[in-house]
Amino acid sequence: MKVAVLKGGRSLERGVSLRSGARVEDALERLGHEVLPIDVGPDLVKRLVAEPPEVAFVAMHGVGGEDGTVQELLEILGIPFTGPGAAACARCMDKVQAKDAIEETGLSTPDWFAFNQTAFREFGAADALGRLEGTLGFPLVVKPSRGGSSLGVKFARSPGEVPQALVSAFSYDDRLLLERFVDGRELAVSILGDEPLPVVEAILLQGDRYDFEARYEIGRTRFACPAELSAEEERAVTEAALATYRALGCTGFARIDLILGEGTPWLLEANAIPGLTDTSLLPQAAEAAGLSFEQLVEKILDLALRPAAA
Amino acid sequence: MFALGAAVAGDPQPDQRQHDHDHDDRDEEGDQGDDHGGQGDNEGERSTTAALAAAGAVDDVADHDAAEGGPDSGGHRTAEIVHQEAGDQTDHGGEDRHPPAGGAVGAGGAGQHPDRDADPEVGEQVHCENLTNHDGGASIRHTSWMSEVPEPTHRRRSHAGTRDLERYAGLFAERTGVMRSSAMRDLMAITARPEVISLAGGLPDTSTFPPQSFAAQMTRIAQKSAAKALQYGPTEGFEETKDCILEVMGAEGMLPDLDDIIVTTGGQQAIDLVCKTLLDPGDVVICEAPTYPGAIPTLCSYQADVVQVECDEDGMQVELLERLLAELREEGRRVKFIYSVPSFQNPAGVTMSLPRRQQLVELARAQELLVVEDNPYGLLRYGGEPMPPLYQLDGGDFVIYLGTFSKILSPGIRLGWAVAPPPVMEKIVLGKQAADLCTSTLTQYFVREYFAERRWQHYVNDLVEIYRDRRDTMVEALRTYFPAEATWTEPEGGLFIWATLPDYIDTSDLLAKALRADVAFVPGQAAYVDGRGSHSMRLNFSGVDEKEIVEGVRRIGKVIAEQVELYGTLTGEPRVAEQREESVPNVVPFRKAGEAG
Repeated sequence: MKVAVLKGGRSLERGVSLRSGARVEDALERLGHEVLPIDVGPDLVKRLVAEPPEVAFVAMHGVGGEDGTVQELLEILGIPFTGPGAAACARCMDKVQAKDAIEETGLSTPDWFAFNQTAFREFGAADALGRLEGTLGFPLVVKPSRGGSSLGVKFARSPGEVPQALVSAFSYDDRLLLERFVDGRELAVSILGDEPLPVVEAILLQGDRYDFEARYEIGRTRFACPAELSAEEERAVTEAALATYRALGCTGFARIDLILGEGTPWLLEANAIPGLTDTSLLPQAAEAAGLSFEQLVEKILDLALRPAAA
Repeated sequence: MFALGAAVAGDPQPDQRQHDHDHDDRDEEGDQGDDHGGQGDNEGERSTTAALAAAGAVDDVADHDAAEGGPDSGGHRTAEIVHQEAGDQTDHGGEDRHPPAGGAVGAGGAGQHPDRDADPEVGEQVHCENLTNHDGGASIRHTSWMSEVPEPTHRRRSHAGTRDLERYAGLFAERTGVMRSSAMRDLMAITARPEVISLAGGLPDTSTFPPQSFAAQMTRIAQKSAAKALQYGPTEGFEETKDCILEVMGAEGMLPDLDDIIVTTGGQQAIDLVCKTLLDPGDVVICEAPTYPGAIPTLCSYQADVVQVECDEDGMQVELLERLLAELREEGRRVKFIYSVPSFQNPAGVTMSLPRRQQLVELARAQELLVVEDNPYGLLRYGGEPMPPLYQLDGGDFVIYLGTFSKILSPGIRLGWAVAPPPVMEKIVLGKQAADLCTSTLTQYFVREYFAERRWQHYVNDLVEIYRDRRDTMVEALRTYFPAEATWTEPEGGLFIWATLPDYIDTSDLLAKALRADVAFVPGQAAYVDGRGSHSMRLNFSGVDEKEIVEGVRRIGKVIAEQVELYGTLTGEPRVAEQREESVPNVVPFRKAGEAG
């Protein structure tokens, strides 16, 4: 089967995407597929029209590739593609939208407020900071609304640190959210089709945060998969993740990140196109479920081609 | 070794590889085409390095980053190599991977018998026996040999599952724990896109080198010395290369002994070899603050305890260094050497003043401390008076000197050198032998031919003219487009300007915003071991033309201005980032000692 692997692009996660893409290409070749690797650029549509693939494997992360843009194009071109559809991608990518949807289903997500730059530049939002700091407490987390791999996520430990954290986070996106910090275990639930895979826990060996470096450096973080959870915890975590997946309209696959704090799964975000690098969590979870990377890739392709059958 | 032995046994004509050892007996012409092996030991590193270099992300740093063993480079590839050697007899690539030179080399002494050194398999009986009845027809034999080797099975990347990787992680040496990948490095992937103007590299402009001159030299090498140029060479480097080095050092008033010089694979390897020779884990190395970003991973990989001494516009503050040395002595900590780039420093662009140089050299003498002087840019001076290198002031007793052809000729030829006192040099040579046996003979021949044309200084002068204009253009652009809160250095030479922004702007984060505006720089944190430098950035002016410099600085200025204004609205003190008036001088590169930071 002719499979186009879409990777790279212009997002800040280009590097991660190239690694995900390379690994997928490798697996596809071993599975006997004809691989058409595409570093996504202005000629994307031309290339897809000139040499139409039977299916597109979207291995892009971040803005452009994970936010529904590429998915929308593929839908227009009538090319089946892996992962969630355009609308679901858009919802997952935007943490504010995602948290709204999560809250509507009655699930727990840490309290938050969202701001765009205009609010500060034109409407004096800075004057409201004191009030929301009182509500959220310290430390508080500042996150770019659209972004992945923990890029631009900042912690402010006191009111004095908030402006700088905001300036830094605004470097990554024009909208960001201020979120209550929830202490607990960092868990990720990957969902394949409609099936939750074993829960992965990220346990930091060095440093105090699961940040970009920790995510992609072998040996910085220990991953426990399946995570050591009581049956009750596991059920709560898995159900919350599945409910989130459905609330966001995901199909194919996605990864739900959450914090398990005092028995409550606090949902943080959903990744429409989770990383597929050597240190990424979805492949780890699949492996724990007995799926090799090749089998995972094949399954993802199946889901793209026969969504109903999955 | 078992795997290597197995590969040999499966090789119908193992004698082919023996030509390495006995070329002394042949004439040059008859020797051609023999060494199909060579050293393929760094494939993974090379490809990653190339990718980074293409990205223009980091100059020599790229070498390092590539070797760091980040998830996409060394670590993974290494694992793959282990895999192949252990299991794959048919992998004819296996013979390329010479294990580090062992006992035979030691017995031969440093570089006394390069050909012997060159192949550790020399001691194995099977080779010696087959060696005697060999005659010509290398290319025919290649064909027959190749035909009996089965097609290599397709093996690339990601054979290992995640769990396997964790298993490898358990095998990693302790020092890999301090070899860090970084978000910055990953972000730099975007600089490969053509629309991005990268002021992040440290690249000299090799497009200024006349292609016909390159072609002529390579042709001469092919005609006159093909066999030798394709052969291994002495570990210390050819005498002829050292003569060229003497010319370069002579241009800055230095005259070292030929025997004190070793030719290295770029200046970066010279740093590595010095560390390899001098450092035990935990030893203190003192560097400038900021220091050459590419030195940090090297020092860290030898588990040095890096302590940085602030610079000001006159370079490293030697009086602070003196105080620091006293403190360290009191704590009972051992300082092995002081690493300094005294002229047109990377990244700060500052040059150590003469009094400071004298002070530093005297300090080193008095305390019997080594100073490692890294001087890649000394000849690239665009203004001011030449400054004597530390090596010249000291006479080579306590100063180890590192030089390179990268900035005055080409970084692609990977030729650098180190000059050290004989006892130190002896160990450096052994270290070099273990690392890569010898520096590329081909590029050494290139340098020899190039210098024979007697035009190298003209080329350096051409570069000086070009880079001076680019520096002036960048300074002018900074005055025009950077907000009034920013300061920067105005270097008298070298390749870099160091700009410092208000302390509420983190340049690592700003890089993300800058990349969205299609421009890149090196965030200052890369030049510190302790997280400092987060408000500064390194800007390169040698690698792109003047039009791009102006546009690049304009784009960075715009994103800074937006952040300055935003901060103003957040803190309730609206600041409109005004562009400076052209006449306002703004050369306050560093906070002075004693000032609050």
